[in-house]
Amino acid sequence: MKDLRLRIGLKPPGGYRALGATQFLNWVSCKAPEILRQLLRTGIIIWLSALAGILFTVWSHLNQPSPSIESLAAAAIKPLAEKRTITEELGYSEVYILEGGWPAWQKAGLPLAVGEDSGI
Amino acid sequence: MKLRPRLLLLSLRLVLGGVMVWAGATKIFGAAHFVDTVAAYDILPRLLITPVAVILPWLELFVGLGLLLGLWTRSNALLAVLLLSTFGLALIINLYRDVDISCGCFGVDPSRGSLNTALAQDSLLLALALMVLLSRHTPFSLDEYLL
Repeated sequence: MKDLRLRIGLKPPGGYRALGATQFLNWVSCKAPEILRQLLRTGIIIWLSALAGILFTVWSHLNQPSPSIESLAAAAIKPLAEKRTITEELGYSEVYILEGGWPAWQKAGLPLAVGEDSGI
Repeated sequence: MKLRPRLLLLSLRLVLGGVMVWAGATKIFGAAHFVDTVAAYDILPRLLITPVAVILPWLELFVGLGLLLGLWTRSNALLAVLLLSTFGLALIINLYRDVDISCGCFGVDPSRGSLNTALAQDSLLLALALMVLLSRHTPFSLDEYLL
């Protein structure tokens, strides 16, 4: 079976000992640029991948669709379990409890109650 | 070089490149899930999980494209060997730990407990990558025309 190093060009034909010192150095200087070139290319591919990955992540964060008012409202408010009793008491058809405090309510774009409703 | 070995080398390169492109693309479009997959392997320190999950799919994609086009074939094959060896090692560690995690080889993978199958696939691809790396010729490639 052929020597693998010989096969892939990492060993000179006839082996290292068949070469004199000068020839061996010549052979190394011939091979070194090729090996360095392969390593440089490998590095370039890794850097390109890193750059593409970072740019894609930033881009996908910037282009995230903003959530709709309805979905924010649905997340911010929660229908009360005993709604029926309260609606009967207060005379309103829908009563919600606010979760997440005023900022969540405001973020959901829900209107501020005014006048006599503002106490509710 | 005769036509038949040239075609064989071409087909090996195309199969490997195609699989790498497919694996990379599915991970890129399921990036959020891939972070969880990398974390589930429980090998990397927490600090490295996100960078690896961000870069790895693109690396697979570029390596796959390079192999498909035959551009910088040996460098891409070397990277494929390194990637597949790392995946294989990660799979072996988790098989040894006997944990129930998804392989995540092709993005979101609903089938669990398939680490053995994944390891077999990985070994096959690693063999292909080694053949491409060790072959001196890159038939029907851009390397032949450009370099």
